[in-house]
Amino acid sequence: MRYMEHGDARNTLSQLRRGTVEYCVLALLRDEERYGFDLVRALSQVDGLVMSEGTIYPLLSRLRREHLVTTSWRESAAGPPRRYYRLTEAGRAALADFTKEWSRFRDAVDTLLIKENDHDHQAS
Amino acid sequence: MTTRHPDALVADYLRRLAAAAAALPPDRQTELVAEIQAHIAEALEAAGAAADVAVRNVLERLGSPEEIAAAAAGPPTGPPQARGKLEIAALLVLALGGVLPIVGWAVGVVLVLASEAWSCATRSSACCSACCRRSSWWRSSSCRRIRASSPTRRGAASVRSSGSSSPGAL
Repeated sequence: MRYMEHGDARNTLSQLRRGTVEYCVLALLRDEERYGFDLVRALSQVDGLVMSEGTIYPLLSRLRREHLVTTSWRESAAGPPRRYYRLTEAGRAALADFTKEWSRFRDAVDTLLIKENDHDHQAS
Repeated sequence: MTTRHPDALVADYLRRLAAAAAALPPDRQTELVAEIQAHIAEALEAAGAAADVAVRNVLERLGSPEEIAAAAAGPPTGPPQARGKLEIAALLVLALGGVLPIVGWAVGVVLVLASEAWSCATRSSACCSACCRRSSWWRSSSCRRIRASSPTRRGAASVRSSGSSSPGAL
């Protein structure tokens, strides 16, 4: 049985980040359509979510291929036309599913982590 | 570090990105480079600066071209089980797609080896001896069935004798 090393927590969290960032993108599109740079900027404002901004573009491309988002080009006052992203019905459904599952998962982990934390405090 | 013109920095970065993304389908490679290029332009616009330091910051936040291209290549899609089955099917088709006598031997070998009624030694001798004979498939795979009905067949004899060493072969 392998024992956990310090790096494992970081590794786990980085995998979690990679897995959840696409749903964060879908969530940002829940109420309005946004263009690429805008999405990247919004994501990078949330601490610790995105390490490399450039990787969001391949993600957006994949979401498009999976028909979770569609895009349209709009003229922009500032410069060249911008590509705007919008949720499809499938994207909306995927986001709703994930949100439900995530809440359950997050609450479960929090319950155990907080309980353990309290335990440590009482013991010491 | 030598100071380079900001445009040269961006051009170099995009060149590295295009190279790292060369394995992608051409339309996706072009699209990725175009999107990153547009991002850099927007980011510099938003920063209100286009000098060396601003460009370096933008490129730093983007991450390395290799990292971005790797994200575009992405993990293989599809469940591992499905791919495993496909590979097995492909191997079987390859194995059976040969000329009939070879196929017959191959199928016979598979059946012989799969049979748990024979010990390892008898199984391998059955395969080897069957290999040296014609219409070996019929003998090796059917030997248990035809053993009683065709005792005079030359080929069946060797297989039969090895088959008889195990109880309950029928």
